[in-house]
Parts: sequence; C-alpha cells; structure tokens
Amino acid sequence: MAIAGVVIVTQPDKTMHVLEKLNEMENVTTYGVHNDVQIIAVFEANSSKSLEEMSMEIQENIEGIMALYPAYVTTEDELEKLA
Amino acid sequence: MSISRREFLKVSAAATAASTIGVSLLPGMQKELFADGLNWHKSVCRFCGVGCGIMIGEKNGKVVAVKGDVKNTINKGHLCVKGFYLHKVVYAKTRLLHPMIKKNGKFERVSWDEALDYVAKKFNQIRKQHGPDALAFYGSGQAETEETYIANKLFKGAIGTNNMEGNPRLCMASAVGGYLTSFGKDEPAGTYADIEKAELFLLVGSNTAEAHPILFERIMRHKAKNPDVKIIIIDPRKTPTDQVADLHLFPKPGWDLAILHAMARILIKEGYADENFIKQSVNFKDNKKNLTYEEYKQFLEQFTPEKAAQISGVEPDKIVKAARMFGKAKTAMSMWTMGLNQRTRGVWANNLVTNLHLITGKIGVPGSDSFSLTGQPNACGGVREGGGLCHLLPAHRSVKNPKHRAEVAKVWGVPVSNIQPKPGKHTVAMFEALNKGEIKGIYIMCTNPAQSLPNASKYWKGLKEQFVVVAESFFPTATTDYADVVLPAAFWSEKEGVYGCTERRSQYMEQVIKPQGEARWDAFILRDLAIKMGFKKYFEKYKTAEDIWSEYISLTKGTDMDLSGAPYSRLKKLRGITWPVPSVDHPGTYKRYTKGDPIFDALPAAKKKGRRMYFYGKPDGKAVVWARPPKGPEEPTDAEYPLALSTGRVLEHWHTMTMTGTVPELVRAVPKAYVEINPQDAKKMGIEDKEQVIVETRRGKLKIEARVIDRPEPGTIFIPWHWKQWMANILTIDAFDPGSKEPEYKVCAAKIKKA
Ligand code: SF4
Repeated sequence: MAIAGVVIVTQPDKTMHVLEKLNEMENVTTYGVHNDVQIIAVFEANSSKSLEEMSMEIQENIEGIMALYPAYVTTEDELEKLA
Repeated sequence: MSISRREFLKVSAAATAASTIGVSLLPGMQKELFADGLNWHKSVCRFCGVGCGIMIGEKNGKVVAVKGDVKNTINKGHLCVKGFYLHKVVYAKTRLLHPMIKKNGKFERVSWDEALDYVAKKFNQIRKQHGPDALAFYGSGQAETEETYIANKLFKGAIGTNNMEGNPRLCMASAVGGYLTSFGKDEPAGTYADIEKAELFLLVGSNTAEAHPILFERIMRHKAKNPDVKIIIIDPRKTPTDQVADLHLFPKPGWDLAILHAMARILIKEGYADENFIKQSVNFKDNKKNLTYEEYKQFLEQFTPEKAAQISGVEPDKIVKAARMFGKAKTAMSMWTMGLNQRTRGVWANNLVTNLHLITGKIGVPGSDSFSLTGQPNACGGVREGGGLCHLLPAHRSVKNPKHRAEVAKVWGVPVSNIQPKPGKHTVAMFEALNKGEIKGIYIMCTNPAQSLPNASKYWKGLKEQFVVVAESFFPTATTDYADVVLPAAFWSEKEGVYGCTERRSQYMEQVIKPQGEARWDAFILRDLAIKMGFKKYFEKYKTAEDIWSEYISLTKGTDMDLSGAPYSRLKKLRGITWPVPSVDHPGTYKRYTKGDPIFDALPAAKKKGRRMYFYGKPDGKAVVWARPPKGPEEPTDAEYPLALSTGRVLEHWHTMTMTGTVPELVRAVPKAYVEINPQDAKKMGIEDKEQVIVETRRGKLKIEARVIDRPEPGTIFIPWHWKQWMANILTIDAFDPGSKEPEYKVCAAKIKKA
C-alpha cells in the first residue's frame, strides 16, 4: 500500500478540466481547488509501482497540468515487510 | 493495512499537501496530523543543491515515510519526485554493508580493523617511499561538512599534501571563480527570498524545471500570482523550463558570451545603466589592465546585435528584446548552472552575467541578484566553505596565504609546516597524475569519478594501476570496479551533520536510524584511519559530530562566512540559517555587501559614505565589470564532427544513479539513455526515432537510442549522462577552464551514424 499526498498545479484556464478528470480516476481522491490553480489530491495504490505509474499517467494524459508536487508519501507496510 | 489506518493516512497525506500551500483542510487537523504513529525527524534532501527540508517518518527503527518540511523556508513542504522516493534508497539492495578488500581480483569481506589496518599500512608505505604528494583524496559535494573537514585535516594537515579535491570542481568551480573575480568573495550576495520579489528572471544554461524543480516551482507560483513577471531563457536546448518562458534565446553551444556583451551594450546605450551605482561601486577591467568606463563602452561597441547574432546564432532582435526586458524590469534575478560553469570559459561567462547586474545596479536590493545554482546538496557548505579543494583551507581561506595556514594549523593542532603553501593537483590533473603513477594512492569518498570524469575512459588506467580506496554507501559503482578496498559508509538518515545549500544556508540533519549492516559515518572512518596512520594526537579528540562542527565554526569566526553564531544547539531548532551569522542572537544575513550584512554594518562610516554597497572582498570595495573576449568552445564543430554535443540531466535521475538507480519507480520512469536529435538533422541523416545510432567524438563511441525531438536546435545533440551502460562521459572533453579548472562537459564536437 502506497499513499501520496500531492499538489497539482494547473494552467489557470484548465483547472476545472483537470479536477474533473482526476475525479474520474479510480484510486484518486481530490481535496478541492486552492489558490485557483492548485488541486490537492491523494493517490492510493497497491504498491509504489502503480503509484508511480499513476503519477506518470496523470501528467501525461490530463491536459493542463503544469506540475505535480508530492508533499507526503508513505510505503509504510512495504517497508515493514523488510523488518 | 486496516481500512481505518488507510483512511487516516489518506487524510494525513491530503492535509500535508494542503498545508504546503497554506491551506488547512479541516479545522484542527494540523494537530491530528502528527499523531500518525510515526516519529518525525527534521532533515534535508540528499539530492540537489536546492536544499529542501524533508521530514523523515520513522517507525520501529525504520524509515517508512517522508514529507516535505512545511516549516522549511526553501520548499515550504513540497518535494520533487526525487525527494519523494528518498527513503526507499536507504534500503536499496545495492547498499554496501561490509568492508571488503580485493584479493586475487575478487572482493572479500573483512573486518573494519583489517580494512583500516591495510589502508593505513599502504598509505604510510606510499608516503614514506614517494612523499606525501603521492597520496590524494577525492571527495564530494554530497558529503557533510563535518566529513569533508576531517578529510581536509587528515590530508592537508597531517599527511601534508594539498592533493585534496572534490567533485564540486566539476560543477561549480567556475561560479567560485566568477564570484571571486567579480565581487572578491565567493557565493551569492542574495538568497532564494529574492525569487518572490523579482520582476524578471534570466535563466542561463539552466534547465531549472528538471535540475532544480522546487526553485522552478517557486518561480512558477510567483509568475502565476504576478502575470507581469517575465522569464528569459538563454540555453541551446528547449527544456521543460520553457513552459513558463516569455523569451528563449538559443545560442550555439558555447557561443553565448557575445550575447551577454551585446545586452550590456544596449543597456548602457539605451539609458538602463545605473550611472550612480557604477560610479560608487564598480571598476572596469579587461584580462590585462584596468579600464575606464569609457574604455569599457568602447570595448562593447564591437558587440552590435548583428555581430553577436553572427557569433551566437541568435537573431539580433531577440538579443535587443532580452536586453530591453532586463533593463525595463525594476528588479531582476539571474540564475545559472552547469550550462555556464562547465565550459573552458566558465569563469568569464559567470562574470558577464554579473556584469548585467552591476551595470544596472540590479544587485543588493530585494528581488535582484546574480545567483548561481548549485548541483549538489553540500557543494557550497562542505567543499567551497569547508575548503575541500586543492588550493583552499576552511572558511574561504587559501593554502597560499601564510596567515591562513597559521590560523588553520593552530586550530587543527598540527605544525604549520605540515600545510604546504603550494596548491595541490586539481581534479583533472589529479587523475592525470594517477595515470602517470605520480599519485600512487587515492581515497575516494562518496563519489563516482570512473563515470563522472570527462573523457572518463582515459582515467581508468590510473584507477586500475594505483591503490584505490572507495568509501561508499552503494556497491557496485563504476569506481568500486577499480577499488582495492571498499568501505561501507552510513547514508542519509543514518548520520547527523550539516549541509550548506545554494543560498548560504546551513541546515542540520538528524540521525534517525542506525546505519545498515556495518556501515559507519565517513568522518569517523577517516578519524580512525588517521589514528591507525599514527596521527592519534590530532584526531582522538573528535568523539561526536558536534565536536567537529564546533571546531569548524570556530575557524569561521571573523571571516566573510562567519558561522560562529550557528552551533548545533541552535541549528537543531532552526530550518537553517544564512551566513554571515556572527553571534547566536544574529538572525542570519539576507543580503551581503549592503545594509543588514553585519560585515558591511561594521565598516567605518567613512568607507561606506554615499554607497549602498561595499564589496569588501575588493581593496576599494568596488566590484568588477569584466571586458572578456567572446571565446567559443575548445572543440568547435567542423566538417568531420559537425554536431555540438551537450550532456545534462533528467528530472527523475541524479548524477551517476547510484541512488536513483535503486528506486524501481524512477528507473521505470526513465529506464535508459538516449540521444536527442533535432528532426531536421534526423531527416538529413535518415535516422528514425528509437533507432540505434552510434555517437562518436574524438574520444570515444557510444551506441545509444535516438530520440528525434525538437528539443535541441539543429546542429546540436543532447545525451543525459546518468547511466553506466550508456556512459556519456566517454564522449565528453576534458579540456578545462584555465582559471577554475572546471572541464567543458557542455560542449564538444560529435558525429552520428546509424548503428
Ligand atoms: S528540488 Fe532538489 S532538494 Fe528539493 S526535493 Fe528535489 S532533489 Fe531534493
């Protein structure tokens, strides 16, 4: 299980489009638009592999994303297995 | 993982992300956030020189999470994708866990005692038979200041050789040379705080979006809020940084000096110069003599936009436009990195950017600065400030200066005669000397020169033939292949210490977990080696990291980079502090050479009279505007090698991938190297996208996948240099800047054919 909290910066005229597209995606939860161009989202995935794939896919396929900044990521249980 | 824990972590992740942009998702959430069962520790990102604050989440002695440090003024909680995966690198399968000695061509696990006894014996034999200069140390801008400090003392103060270098020679020595010749003192006058106050950014030879992502984000946010903010890029290649550019000048690689002179000419001619500032604070010089302002103007006359266009390949109207934009903006911040530094005229290129600020007075005021960006997290702190190069001693001192040698010897407790007055061998000369057998033993710490040196394969001979010790956290690397002994070094989060980033900020990092396997802290490995070599009385006093830092900052007292007000007790509470910081109640310095800089403030009133800036590194307090010749690259393109090859970085990887190569997500994101070719060139040569091609220079050949893309201009090609399998540095040239000794990684002549 991997969970990441990210800030997605959008082009000002594409913010709502990006939000809609994100909301259509499985394993993505959005937490609102802030400062007009920033969307808070959480990605959940079964492993950090698919987390990365999700990030890439989102950036590549949704028009209007300027950048995606992770602020928090945990792979807590993956690493617990290493113990 | 239970549903409730998962929900909890989701909310924590969202709230953390929200807090980085100043938003509270739910009232009172901030408190809850930290009750997630993890212990959070303050640290700094291990990758680039931006110096982002990272919080390390630890549970049961394991690092399990990271988050951006919201309290850190640099990144305010955000991280780029490299920082995001940093905690996974700690548990990489390639971590080096035990000391090993190569016996009959194979590494065998040995005890620490056996390894260090062996290295001490070999080093002492070499020293006795061939003298101290047959030994050398090669360190890193990723090592902590404390680690470089101990290495410096061992090699310069105890063994008695100045053959002590570090990889910052390869990335920022030209910036050092630029600042020293322009201002008289190294490192920028301003800080990142200028970003939010700048009206214009001039980005030269910098792919900020990929190489310094968090600074790019700050620029982007600032521009989003203030649409009048303008961004000019001077760079031979289109990069992701272009998404925010208002104007992009594409010079032929290595031919941009004329553009900067032409801009200076227009600024003066069209009345954008700050004549008062020039009178108060500026001298003019060429390579031989002092000039008058009038003589400088005459020198500039040759650089009409048309002439600069002819030299650089940039359209004249773009040059005029860039100069006018720079002139009209009330404040301007220039940022540059390897594209200017890694050149045979890197120092000159640095000077010419700074000229624009000195001529227009756009320096020493909020929002204006000529600001060099750093590639590594502690190149500024450990190597520039700590004195980890062959001509330096701690705190911006020089080995040539007898007073400096005496001051350092006193604090080190070594005879002053131990410190040689002559600089040692700079990086390229050092590896050349290893090839020739003049250097017979080398200690390499936290870096990978077999891959990162320019014209790399030329230097494998010396590494193969001489006695090589490599202290590393990862194994194997291109350099450990040549090692006789490998020593496992503690990694980020497994040690405490200080990093000093681009903006003169020193930040303390906590030790969070025990080192993996038998790894040990580099500073203590060196201390124990010193003791085994017979230098016990000089080294036994260092029991903790704080002992080393405290001694180091005592050496900074009274210097231009005074850190004496930044002991561990203070740094542990702060998100770093920007020097000079001369006392524990001093808040740190935002702008140097002007009001608020304690050194400026302490100057006699008569000296400062009528002047808003006093460049105290120069005898008369005046900075220098340089009239440098517009020299091009060492190896221009020609009929045989018609393409200009440039190397650089991608967002997902860092340097030689010893770290990012261990994170499967990052490897998958950019799994292999490629050569970018402009579609026009590709068409002419009949090369298709994704086809295998051979890139050849006068030094080597590389089989690599073609990426046909309009990022490089026609006539230029680009290869990201991170991969061992596709080692771009077998192609690059090892010609170096005669002043800074920094090699010209950024330009050489190449040709391509289908594989
Ligand atoms: S910008 Fe640099 S310091 Fe900041 S998170 Fe990315 S790699 Fe680390």
